[in-house]
Amino acid sequence: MRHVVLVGATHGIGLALAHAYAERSWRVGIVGRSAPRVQERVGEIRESYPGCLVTGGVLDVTRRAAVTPALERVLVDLGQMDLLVYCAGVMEEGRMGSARMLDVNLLGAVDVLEWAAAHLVDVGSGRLAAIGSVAGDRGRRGNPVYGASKAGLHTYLEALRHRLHPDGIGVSTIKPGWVRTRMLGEVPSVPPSVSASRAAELILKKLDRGRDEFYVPAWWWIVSEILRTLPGPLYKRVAPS
Amino acid sequence: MRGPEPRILRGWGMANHARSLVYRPLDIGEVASAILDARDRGMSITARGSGLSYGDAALNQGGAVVDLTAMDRVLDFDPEQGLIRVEAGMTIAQLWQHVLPRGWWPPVVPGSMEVTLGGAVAMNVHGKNHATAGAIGRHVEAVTLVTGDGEVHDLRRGVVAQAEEGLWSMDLSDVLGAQGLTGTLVDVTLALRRVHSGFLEVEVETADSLPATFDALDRGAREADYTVAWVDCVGRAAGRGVLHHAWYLPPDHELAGEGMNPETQRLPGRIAGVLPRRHAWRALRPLSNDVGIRLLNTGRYYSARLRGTRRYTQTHAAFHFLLDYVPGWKQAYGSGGLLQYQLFVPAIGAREAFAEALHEQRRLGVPSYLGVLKRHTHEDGAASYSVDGYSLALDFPVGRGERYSRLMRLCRALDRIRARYGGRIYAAKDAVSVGRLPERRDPAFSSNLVRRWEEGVG
Repeated sequence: MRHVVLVGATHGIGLALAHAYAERSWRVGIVGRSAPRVQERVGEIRESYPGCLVTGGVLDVTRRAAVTPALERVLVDLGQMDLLVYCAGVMEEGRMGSARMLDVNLLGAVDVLEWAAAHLVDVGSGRLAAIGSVAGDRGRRGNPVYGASKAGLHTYLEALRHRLHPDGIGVSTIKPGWVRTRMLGEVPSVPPSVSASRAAELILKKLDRGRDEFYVPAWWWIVSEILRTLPGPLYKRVAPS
Repeated sequence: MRGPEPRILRGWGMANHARSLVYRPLDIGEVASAILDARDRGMSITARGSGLSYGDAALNQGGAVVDLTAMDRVLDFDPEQGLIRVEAGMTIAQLWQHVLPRGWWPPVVPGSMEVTLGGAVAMNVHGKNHATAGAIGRHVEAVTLVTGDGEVHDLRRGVVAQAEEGLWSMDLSDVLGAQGLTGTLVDVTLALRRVHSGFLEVEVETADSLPATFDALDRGAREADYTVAWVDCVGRAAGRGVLHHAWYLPPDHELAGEGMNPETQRLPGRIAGVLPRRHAWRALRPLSNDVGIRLLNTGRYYSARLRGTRRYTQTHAAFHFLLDYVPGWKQAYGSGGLLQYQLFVPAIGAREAFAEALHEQRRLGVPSYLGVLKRHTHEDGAASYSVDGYSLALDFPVGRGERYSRLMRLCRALDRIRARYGGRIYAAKDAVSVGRLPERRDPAFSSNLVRRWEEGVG
């Protein structure tokens, strides 16, 4: 009778989370951009975990006007929502790519989380979470707009956490390191990279414990802490790509 | 009626909630207009009383809820015949307070007196006298309901209501236990039970194993007017129980005519003379874990055992309404809320089925904090939950993390036991299983539970 809505769950970490939650007998609502793919994923998960309530919803998070009706529909099918995890994210190149990254990674998250926050405040309990990135902790050499979109998301989540604290709603910032999904393309399947399903397991445990902000896997915290405390003149020379 | 308001409503177990457009009609006309208004908005409709269904039966995410609690008047009372016609939003508490001074008592009462008559009939609730008196539906003489087209229908026992064209017909059995899915109940005519005293004679005994608890319950069901067993579900001694049997007092009893004033029925303000009743759940909170519950259960069993089999008199209210005794006790289960799994199985095989259920909860490490064993009888009516057999009601904190997953695994295991022994599901309690929906339904009505059962997933 615990219910999770996963926005951006037809691929990568979102999909792995859908499997992980279904396996633990949560009721799962999968939201994705493409209707056939959502249908396919819902079918796969239902087959893997028979008797588990899995529903699908179609939403392009960049279409602001579509957010509320699509998620309300998901809520009717799922019955309720105790947790929402925003997993949608893109990494693209060029001017168009920059706009899209800000649209999906930041503005889409804001629209979805504001809708969910308003609902949970009325309920009086629940948790919101979104997938940020270690790339948002400090400016790197490569893909600055991706990093900026995730940094913006982190700051937004922190503000939301403070705003919703009096209402009893938790907000979690998830910061994965290298997770083997299509976003990173060819990443060797050796440490320090982790599989999406491993990342999902770690995320689920931390969300269960109600952690506000955490790295996946946890040791990224040390790396990030070092990078963040390096003085600017020094960081300039060692900034990772 | 004020305009409908969007509101978050909760199941009684606090683990389920939903946002609905809530109408609170004051009379039949307003019920009909609420139903028509909701349909104009393209919304499905759920009728709701006091909201004491444990799970999602009185919830309707994204739809309309017709809250009947403002309709709580007595419409007609014949104190000679013991027939009373009340609005569907009247509670069992209001009902007995009205009729007891005239020598009557509701023939069937559930464990909480906050339940409305409409809800009680829609779920066809039972009491601790199910084996002998049947569920409440057997005592319903007539109901009035409003169907999805806004039409008002009167249904009387033994009469089939028919539309003029003869294409449509309906009788009481289409309503009893139908969860309000054939129409929203607006009033109920109930045949009351004559009582000669405000007190019952109660006998308490203990049984040291599950078979002994069954034996004692069987004897109670044969000999007493009411019988119920509390079952310790924790640890090695799981299955031992404390039984309460009760009898109405005869007209020549020394307490005849006593205690008929509702004031004397009032539950005590303090528990054990010291603990304020209103705050008692706070004392339960630190005990609401596996170790604490083990202590509490062992203490409860031995305190009954040491005193031996004993008899005393007790008011009707104190005997029946255990769930009201410690207000807010469910809050002791913590923020995740509580889940009750009530396993109904036919008499043949019940002992084995419940032994397996107790074994499963031990195997999975999820002991029930409160177990209640009752004897039941078969009920007709729409998609009846009840069989000629027994039920074991198990309460659990919903919990988080790994604990929650284990509880869900236990529920699936209990589902399998139920299926194997030919058991049933009770909508008023359910939050995790799939039961039978009444074949006859008005498409205007639905609920979270109905959608879940239609999908066939827990």
